[in-house]
Amino acid sequence: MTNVGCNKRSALHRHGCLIGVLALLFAANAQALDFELPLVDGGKFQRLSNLSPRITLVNFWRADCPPCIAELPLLVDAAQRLGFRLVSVALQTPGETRAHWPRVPGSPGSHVALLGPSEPRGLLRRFGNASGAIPYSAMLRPDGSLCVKRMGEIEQGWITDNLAKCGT
Amino acid sequence: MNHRTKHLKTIHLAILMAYALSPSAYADERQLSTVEVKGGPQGKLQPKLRDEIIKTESISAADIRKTNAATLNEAVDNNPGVAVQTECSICNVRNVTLNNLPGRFTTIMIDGVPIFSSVSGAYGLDMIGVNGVERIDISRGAGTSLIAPEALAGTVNIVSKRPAKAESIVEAQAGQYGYRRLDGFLARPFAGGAVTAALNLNHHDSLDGNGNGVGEYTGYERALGGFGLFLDDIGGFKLRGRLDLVNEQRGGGALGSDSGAIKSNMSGNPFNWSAGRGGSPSPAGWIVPNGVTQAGDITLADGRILRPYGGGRGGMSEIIETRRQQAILVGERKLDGGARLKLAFGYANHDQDSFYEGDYYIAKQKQHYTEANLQKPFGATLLTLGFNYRYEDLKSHGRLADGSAVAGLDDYAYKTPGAYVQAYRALFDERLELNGSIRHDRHNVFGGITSPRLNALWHHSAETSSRIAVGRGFRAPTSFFEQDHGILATTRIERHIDNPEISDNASYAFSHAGDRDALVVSLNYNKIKNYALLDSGATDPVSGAPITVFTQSSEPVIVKGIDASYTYRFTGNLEGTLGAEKFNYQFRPGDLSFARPDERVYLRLDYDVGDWDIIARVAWTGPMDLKRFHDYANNPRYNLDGTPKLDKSPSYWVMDLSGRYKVNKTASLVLGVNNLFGFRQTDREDFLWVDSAGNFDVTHFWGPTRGRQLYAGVRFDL
Repeated sequence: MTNVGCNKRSALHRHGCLIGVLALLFAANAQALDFELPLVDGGKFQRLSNLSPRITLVNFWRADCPPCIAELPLLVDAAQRLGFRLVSVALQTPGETRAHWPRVPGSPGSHVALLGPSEPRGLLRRFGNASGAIPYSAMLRPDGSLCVKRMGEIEQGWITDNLAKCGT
Repeated sequence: MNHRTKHLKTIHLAILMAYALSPSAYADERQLSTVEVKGGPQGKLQPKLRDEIIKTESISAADIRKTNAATLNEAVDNNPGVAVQTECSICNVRNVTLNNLPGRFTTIMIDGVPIFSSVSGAYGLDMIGVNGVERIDISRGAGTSLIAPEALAGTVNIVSKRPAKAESIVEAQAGQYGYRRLDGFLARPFAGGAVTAALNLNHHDSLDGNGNGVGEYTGYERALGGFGLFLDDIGGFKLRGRLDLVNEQRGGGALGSDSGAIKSNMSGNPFNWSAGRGGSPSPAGWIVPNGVTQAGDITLADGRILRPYGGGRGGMSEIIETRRQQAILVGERKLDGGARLKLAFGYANHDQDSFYEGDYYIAKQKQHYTEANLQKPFGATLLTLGFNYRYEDLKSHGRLADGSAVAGLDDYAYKTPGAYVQAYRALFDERLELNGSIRHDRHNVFGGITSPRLNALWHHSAETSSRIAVGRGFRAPTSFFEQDHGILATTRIERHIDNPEISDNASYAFSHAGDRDALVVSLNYNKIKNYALLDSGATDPVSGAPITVFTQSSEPVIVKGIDASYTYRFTGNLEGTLGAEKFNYQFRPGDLSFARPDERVYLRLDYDVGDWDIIARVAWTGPMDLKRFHDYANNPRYNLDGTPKLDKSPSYWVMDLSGRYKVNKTASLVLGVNNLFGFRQTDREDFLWVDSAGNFDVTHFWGPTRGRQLYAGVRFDL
């Protein structure tokens, strides 16, 4: 870890420096969002930052969430048609996910289907969702930074409106 | 510009950037129809303080299915800080213990409504089916539940599932020891609501592991039925209602299900008291350790005194029939300004007709619960104001083995109106969450009682948090069942109780929720004052007849503990969890009636691949200080051959395996084994014991009551 030079200063400086470092870390957190989650087929882990730079919509869902199920086909279809990447994160067991999606739809590259962690609130909070409610989506710029987030079911218009905004 | 000024400017700039780049600056949060994530696949939970009940663990429906649990007790067992304790070898009373405190301090709720107490709390927890359950939330600590101040150890809340799609499920299982189980669940959503129906039929034979003819595992025949009604908008209210019907007969002691014949067989000796570890030298009876004879005793050739048994099958048996009906209705309505109104009602009627070794006990218990709760934001503070009224009574009658009638021995009627207020506020961009509350209850016997609590949650980062909780709770002791479920050989109960049991609780929990791993470490401190005790061995100073004194300990019971649970995902299909707990107990010897271990370790592997879903769970239970818990200094316990019981129980492992294989879209196969290593307590020491005068009991517990059990089944999702 980088030595930020706080250790030889006065108590006040050390305190202030700590706040500054925390604030910078918090700011950095908003700049580059990342995770490492397994693919729904149970294979390898996928790190978000290892995917090629592209506008990415990260969508969190569960099979027992009716609005999540309602919006998923729209998102898969929109990703193929409009050229952004959909990363769906299932917040349930592999078996529950397979029961809903025996074959994950989408062409290679347009849809990456992942399994969420056992305790998903940390991940949700990191992506700006402190309440833990779903459906929840976060649109990321090609550099991986958060552009816009959405709580609740997504309509087509929301996607098209924000693609232009997040592509810049 | 001096160095300090320059440095502070840098800090201010950094803070400004942090705010400008924080996710909230980009929020486009239109609160449409959403579902709150209550826990992940395995239900570990980072705490969240907005709610009236602050959950510390959550068990999902998927987890319940994986572990093959049919009832509440089976669903919650074997988690750090959570255990199910069996307290009787011939009636299998089982309690859910939180933080290793006695089970009576755990409040069971259904959809947030507390509707179990005393009689129903003794056998009723085996009768809470888990079909149609969305999840089970556990809240450890007296400071975690605003609406249940009597939950000195915490609460267990069963949350019904509002179905989103039509479901028709049938599952049948069979296994060793006469295990038969049939489950059915039907869900039908309609425009604006849904209805559900659930059925669970369960049978298990009574078991005798050591060949003496006295069972260690109580047999049962159980039928559970439930109906659910969900209405999304009726007068602006979102309603969920539930009706549960229970019919159970359980019988332990003498083997067999011919309960009428057992009850009427009250003479002779059908048992072999010389069988098993520590068995008597004679099959006719057991050794009187102190050698003091009474009429009918036999002096053996070696000079020891044998007390022959002549009570027949019925004299060693307990047969309990239960019928229960309960109804719950919860309605929530959103009001202007972000406010929410919640109304809740609960009703339970619990009938118990029991036979306790020749004594007959018939009890009827009623419970009502009413709650009105308004949640409204005032600026950045979310206020919750509420009122609830709890009513419970118990009326009993019966007759003793000698034919004498008894009535109202343990009757009581408690009426407890209470009011509460809770304030919740998130500070520092939601990094700090504070929840403070206070409630005041007016108990019709114990008077006014005020219970405050305070919770603080600090998010170190998105993934890690610390929670500190302090709280107070109270509980009005209800005598008989929660203290000792088989003490009816008494003519009256003298109550020497002036105060409710009071708990002061403090806890700290550190949580980490990463992408591949999750860690929760909890520290708990519980101090219970006015600990209620039942002395069933007292005698009336005038008549000399046996009486029972209901009193309170002069010293508090203090239980301190630390537990930790770490989960790591090895691959997308394989996840492992390692859990451990260590507890320390301070109490006057004998006050805690049942022994508890200082340490437990848990290991769990979940393998979910292709059409297979497999779970392996291993629990290691450390030694228990039997000498201290059972107060051997004043009340030594002996085996039937007159040798002393173990001072310390041995440690042991229990491993359960369960697997499900999906044959096709509708059919799945179930295969499992409970207690794979087959360890039973009777391999080392019997549950039966005698005191120095040769009086007999069935409550010497520290290990599993049943050995290895294989089962298999089939499930259809139609």
